[in-house]
Parts: sequence; structure tokens; C-alpha cells
Amino acid sequence: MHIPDGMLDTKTFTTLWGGAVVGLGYASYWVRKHFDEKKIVLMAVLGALIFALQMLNFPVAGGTSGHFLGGALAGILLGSWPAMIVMTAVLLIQALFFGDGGITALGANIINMAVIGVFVGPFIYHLVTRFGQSLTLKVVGAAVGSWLAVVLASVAVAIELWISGSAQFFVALSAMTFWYAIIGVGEAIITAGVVAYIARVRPEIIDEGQQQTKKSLVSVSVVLAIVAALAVGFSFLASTHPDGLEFVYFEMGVGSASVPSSSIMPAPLSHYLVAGISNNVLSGIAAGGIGVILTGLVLLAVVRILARRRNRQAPALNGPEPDGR
Amino acid sequence: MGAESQARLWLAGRLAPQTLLLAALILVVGIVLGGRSSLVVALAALVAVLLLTIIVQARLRRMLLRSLVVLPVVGVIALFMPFRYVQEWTLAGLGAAYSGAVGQMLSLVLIPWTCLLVMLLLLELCSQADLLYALERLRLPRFLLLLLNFSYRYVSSLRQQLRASHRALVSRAPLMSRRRQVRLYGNLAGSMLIRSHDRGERVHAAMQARGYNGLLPRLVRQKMQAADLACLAAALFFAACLVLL
Repeated sequence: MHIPDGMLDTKTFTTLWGGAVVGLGYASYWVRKHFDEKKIVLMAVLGALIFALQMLNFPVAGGTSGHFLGGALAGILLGSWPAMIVMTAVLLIQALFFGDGGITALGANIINMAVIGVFVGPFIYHLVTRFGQSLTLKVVGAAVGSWLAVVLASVAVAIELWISGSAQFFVALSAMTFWYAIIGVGEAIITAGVVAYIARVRPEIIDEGQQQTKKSLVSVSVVLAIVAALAVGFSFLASTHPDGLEFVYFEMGVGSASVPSSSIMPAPLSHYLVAGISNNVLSGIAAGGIGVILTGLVLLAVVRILARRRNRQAPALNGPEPDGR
Repeated sequence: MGAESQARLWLAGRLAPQTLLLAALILVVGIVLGGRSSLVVALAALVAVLLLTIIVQARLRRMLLRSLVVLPVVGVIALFMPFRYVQEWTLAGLGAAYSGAVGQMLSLVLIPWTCLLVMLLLLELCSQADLLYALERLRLPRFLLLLLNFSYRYVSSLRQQLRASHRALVSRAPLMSRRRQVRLYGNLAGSMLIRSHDRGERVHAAMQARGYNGLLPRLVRQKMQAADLACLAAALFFAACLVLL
């Protein structure tokens, strides 16, 4: 699941780095606001445990092996935003100290494992446990959530490789989802095992995590906004090859008659290049940087609006304090 | 220490860890940006990194062996990459796609391998504690740094415990089905998490009582000097050459 350096092209890794930095910025703001220092111990222990578990391979069909990812488990136990920081710390240690996963691809790895993993798993877990708080439902929610988190993360990897031109879409998608659907079963069993054990022995840890997830339901919307904005970023910065619609329109000559000969206003980053920079790579980097900044500004605006709305709603929901203070 | 590691020790002692980390990051970005556009650039980067490894007298054999771990992943992706260019799904079509994409396939393998060699060279020159210090000097958010310090502190002990438990599990129940084994990993991990958490809370309280401020102490605090700036300039120059060539 860890993408090494060189697999992603400039526009893809810069966009994903931008998305990861914005997400991490909000996550650290959220954690500073809601978490006390005691919780950091749990976060660190969980980070180290996930790191250790990722090194332990379990057998998968066909003589291959897979390893635990842990995003869903971290999300269920801590809540999604703190779990994002924990997973980022794990990925950072792996990339810097062990050469596992690339430096330029770290943004992509954060999005795949520390965003998709930690939001999808707890979200499904929360949905399932809405029907009851029995141990069985908790185990089922954890298992389904973690399996889905792994499979969706693998889909994201396939899409990123395809956008970067490193793999053909259907080959990458089918290969990744096939293997990770199997590996996800191991992930689901381990996550369910940990959740079942902790629910029996120390249920308050899971309950606290679930409260954090409930508190941060808005955060799920924010992450969806991040993903949507990234998708928009990708479409702006995507491959120089025509997409399906463009291909049908221009290559097959379907819509050439209806296309005006010149546009009303020239696009500022036409062909993903900045005018005035002759070197294509540097020009592409500059265009990517501008795209990232624009995406970041849009995300910042979304987060600010959501936070302002929540602050406005909070006094109305809580009502006036009884002693008038 | 043998005489063969003198150059490595000299370099590591002369340059601040934050310089080495920054230089490595600059090189990696340069290799990725330059190497994707040309196989010659990717090859030049690999040769340069290998030469640098020899010059600083790092353990080349060890680095090469460790770097092999990246090859299965990138090898598979490189093997299937030409599928993008298949015009018609016949043997001739596949052959044409593969013959046209040999350079790209090689680049796709060489770049990750070279980047991993750069990171391994960094690890040869810096200890992990040095790298944590470098991250602190580079103003990584304090919260993340705290988490990295703690995780780094717990990783080795948790790994040892997990391996010991795994050995015990396999030796005591060799005929247990894979499914039950995986389920037991869950219980194992859960119990380890609870035990480590309880112990971690006690250790954290004790560390705070002794004046722990969230960072691991370090005797020598290296600041950037002229040699560091020269090293960074060299890394920038090399990366720029790779990109602009």
C-alpha cells in the first residue's frame, strides 16, 4: 500500500501533498482544541502498535502475505482526527527511518492510509453501532469498516497510479482491489479482535473514541470536501492525454463542428503550464503549486464556514447557562 | 570503529543532521522530477548516488541489500505499465507496446530505487535520534514531534513483545487454523495495547515529574554553519541539473 518515490508524477504528488497538509493542519488544530496531554500517551502507544503490527505479515492466498494497516482501528479507538495524526506519524517514521514509502509520495500515502482509512472505518462502525451497543454489533461494525477502508484505500492507490501514468486504470484497479479485498479480511479480523478485546476489558477507551467520532461528524463532511476538491484539483492538473469525453469529441470528430474557433478568455494555466516559464517541468511544478494553493484556499474557506456555523449553533443548542454567567 | 568509516564519521560530525535531512529531501525531489522525463537522467542520478555512497564510505553492500525491498512493488507496476499503450489486444500489439515503453519501464524502476538509496544513505549518516532532532530544528509541529518521539520510544519494545508472543503462539499451537491464528493476533494486539497504555501513562507521569518537556534531550545542539550551506547548495545544484537536463 505504501507508494514509493517516482511512481507518481509532479501534478499528482503535489496536489496530494497539498490535500494532506491542509487535512493535517485541521487535524492538529482539532486535537489541540479537544485533547488533553494524557491522551497523547494512548495515541503514541497506538501509533507504535500499528507500526509494529504493520511489520508482522500474515499469510494470504497463493503464497503471498499481507500486513495490517491500522487506520480503521486507530479511528475507532481515538476518533478520526486524532487517528489521522497517529497514522501520519507512523507513515513519517516509516518513510524517514525505514525507507518504506516515498518522500514525494508521502502526501498520497497520507491521503490513502491516514485519511481514507481513519474516516471510512469509524464512519461504518458508527453507522452499525447506531442500531445497538452490543459486542456483536461493535465487532461487525469494526470488521466491515476496516475491510471497506482497506479496499477503498487500494482503489485510491489505483486511481493515483493511473492519473500519474504509471499504470493502466483497469489493470491497476483490478489488481489492487483483488489483493486488498483478501488482505482486508485479515485486517478486519485483527481489528475486530482488538475492538472485541478492548470492549470487554476497557470499554471506556472505545466509548471515548466513539464520542470523538460523533463530535466530528462535521469532520467527515470536511474530508468529503477535501476529496472532492482533490478530485477537482486532479481534473485541473490531470494527464495531457484527452479524457474519454474529449477523445470522443475531438479525436473522433463528433463535436468539432460545434466548438468555437477561439475561446472568449484564455485559460490561465492552459495545458497545466504557466506562461513565461520555458522549462516544462518547472512550469508544471509552478502550475501544480498554484493548483494546490487554490485548492487549499477553497478548503480553508469551507473549514472556516463550517466552524463559524458550528460556533453559531453551539449556544443555541446548549441554551442559556442557568446562573446567567 | 574501523578506518573505512572515517569519511562517514567526518561528514556526519561536520554537518548538522537538519542539513543532511534537507539535502536528502532536495535530492529525492530532484531525482523524481528529473528522472521521470528521461532514462539517462535516472541513470545519472543512480550513478551519482552510488558514487556519493562510495565517497562517504557508507556500507554500500548493506544499503543495496536493504534497497532491494522496493523492487518487487515497483517491478510489478513497471511490468504492467506498457498496458497503457496497447492499441490492440494481440501478441503483436502487446509486443509493440512493450518495445515502445522499455525506457519508461526502466525509469519507473530506477527512480524509486535511487530515492530509497538516498534515504538509506541518510540513515547511514544520521542516527534516528539525530533525525528526530533534525525534524525539531526544521520546525515540525510540536504535537507531531511529541508523537514521533513517543512512538519511536515504544516501537522497539512493542515489536519485541509482539514477536515473542507470535513465536509463543506458533510453537504452542502449530496446528491452529490460519483464521484462528489471525483472530488471536487481534487479542494479542488488544492486550498489548492495554498493557502498554497503562504502563505508558505511568512512565509519562514519571517523565513529567523529572522535567520532561515533550522532547528528547540532546547533548550537542548543532546549528547550521558554512559547511552546511555549502552542502545544501551542492544538493540544490545537483537537483537543478537533474531537472533542467
